[in-house]
Amino acid sequence: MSNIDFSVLQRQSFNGIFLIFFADIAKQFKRFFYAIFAPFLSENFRNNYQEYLIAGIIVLVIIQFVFSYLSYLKYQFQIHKSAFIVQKGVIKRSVVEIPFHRIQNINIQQNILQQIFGVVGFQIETAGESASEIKIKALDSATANALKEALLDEVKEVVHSDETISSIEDSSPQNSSLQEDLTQEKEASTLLHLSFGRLLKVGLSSNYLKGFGLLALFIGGIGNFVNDVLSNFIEVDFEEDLVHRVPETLSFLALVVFIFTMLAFLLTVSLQVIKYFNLKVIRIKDNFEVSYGLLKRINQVIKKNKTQVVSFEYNPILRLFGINNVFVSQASASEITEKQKIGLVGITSLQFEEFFEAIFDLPFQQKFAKTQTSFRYMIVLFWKQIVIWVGFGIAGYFFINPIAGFVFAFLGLIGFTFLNYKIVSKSHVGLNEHLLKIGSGSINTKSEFVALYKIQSVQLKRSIFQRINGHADLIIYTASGSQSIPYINYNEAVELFNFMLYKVESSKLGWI
Amino acid sequence: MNNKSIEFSNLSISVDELPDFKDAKLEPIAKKYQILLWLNLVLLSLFFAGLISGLYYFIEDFPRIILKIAAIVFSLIIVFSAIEIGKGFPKRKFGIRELDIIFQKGFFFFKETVIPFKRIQHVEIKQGPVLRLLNLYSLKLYTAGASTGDLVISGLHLNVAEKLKAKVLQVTEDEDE
Repeated sequence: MSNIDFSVLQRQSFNGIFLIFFADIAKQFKRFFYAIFAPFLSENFRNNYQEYLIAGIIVLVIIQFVFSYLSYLKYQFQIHKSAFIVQKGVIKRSVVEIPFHRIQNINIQQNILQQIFGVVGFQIETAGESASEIKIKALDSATANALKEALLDEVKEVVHSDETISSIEDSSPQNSSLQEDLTQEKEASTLLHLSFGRLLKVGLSSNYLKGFGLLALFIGGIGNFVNDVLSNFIEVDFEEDLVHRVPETLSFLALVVFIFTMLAFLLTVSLQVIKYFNLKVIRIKDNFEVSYGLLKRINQVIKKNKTQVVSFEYNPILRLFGINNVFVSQASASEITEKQKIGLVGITSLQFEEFFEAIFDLPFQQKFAKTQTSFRYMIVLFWKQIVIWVGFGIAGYFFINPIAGFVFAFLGLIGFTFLNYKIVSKSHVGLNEHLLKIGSGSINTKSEFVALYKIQSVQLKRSIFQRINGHADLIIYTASGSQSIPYINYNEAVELFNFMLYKVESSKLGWI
Repeated sequence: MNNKSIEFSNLSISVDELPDFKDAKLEPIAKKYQILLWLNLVLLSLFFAGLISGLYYFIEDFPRIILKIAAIVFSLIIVFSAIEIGKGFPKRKFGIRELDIIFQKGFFFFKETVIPFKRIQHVEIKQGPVLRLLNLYSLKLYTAGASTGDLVISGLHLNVAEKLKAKVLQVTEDEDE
């Protein structure tokens, strides 16, 4: 369909220079935000050194542009023999080579910045055995599609020849599943299509603390600045004034708290709605194609064999709406963060059942031998949190009066103890012949499922105290990161440990 | 081990018949490796001491209270590290079973890690500059995916490291056939 010869080295789209430049600038800005803006908060600095700082920033931006241009020039890719090769790096050159049989998936995406420059992002997913995931930031869409076609053609060929050679050898699962993807699109069915109403419910039941945190950071950052600026213009001494108008101040404070709460609420809900806008999950055989997002449309594929951990979560509000959130971790070259998990939010229990059975090849009803976290763990949590509520108390003592300090500390202690009780009673591990189920949560409830043969290694961790009182933390490593179960009885932990090792070592299945 | 603790009622094998990783024979790593740990600690303390006394004598405006707190915190860190090295070193041991490799270490937090050979992707024998002076090596075992699951056994003699590597690779290859 195109006449681009990918066997010679290619560069990204010319517009890519600007895209790379802006993306780099954004990255640097994020990284050095506080370093750059903290000085502006000080009046002395603003008066004396502002010009130098601005000049410095301009110089840095120019250097960054040169660097971005060089990195554009040095970023080249080609198809060579039976691999896709990328050469990159200005100072530290590196060559990444992906053999065709390792290619699991090819995604083409476009975020806002890419839309502005009329380019698309091109991503090659691999099995995550090493740092061999490739992201080309800027290709024009014709080239991207041509490259995708070309790669898929090659991959098909490799898979076919593999099949003929090793058909007796129980053809390796990743190739055959890719083949299924390439050839069979007809068995697609929609598992989940999130309506706006249900999306709103998901937003309403998300964790507002996150919104509060974001807002607090933001306001804390600009609050200082505003105070500083205002006192320059208006001749008020804020602290003096506040004391004189206590009644007004109190109602003002109540208003501020109210507005703050509303803002945090709105922020949380809209962030969720933007992120998961028009979430669609399409089942193709046992793999799932997920697409979502309002500003940045993201397409991801949940591969049956690449899936490591499936986490099923709900909280009281979600329960009320009769929906749940599911997060999937896939094998990855680096530890997966919460953000990188693929979220199937607003899923009903019935839909989850279908998903579970497709991913694990097991009936949804599973019996687990359950091991509970010891209530001693509450003591550990108590010591970890003591700083926080004692801090509350001290703050109350100094800023209001001793009684308030005592009340604050007491309320903090009660609140944390209640949470800790919830945390400990929900923390457990369930095990059966095929699956590991890790329960956790506090207000929310979370169950993580791992197929036993996906376990990479296991660890028992015991502090001095645990060695005395006969407990241990159990830590399980998969190709997407680690899961830990705190404070279980040592003898039971050893039994779980031996059993998991036995299952991994006797299993004929590969981890992918 | 008491039987009543967990009931694996629906399992086809009895838990008691499973090989217990506690029975594995473990070997300590090379004694010389302790020198490196102590050396690190000495360098660290010198660095802290230099930093704090430098600030104390050369920058008069620097708040004294911060320096005092820092000094206390740093000396606590150093004391605890010293205990960790002294008490923890004898606990650094590794062992090989038919199908997996075991490594344990730590005093304040005693960690026992087991990696089945078939999950090891890649083995590397490394030697840093200080290890070179001591003529010791470290063995790094890579598992799939995130690097959190990787295991490093430091302070091995070359012949031990090579034997371990050969054993790991041989079993991995057997699995592939």
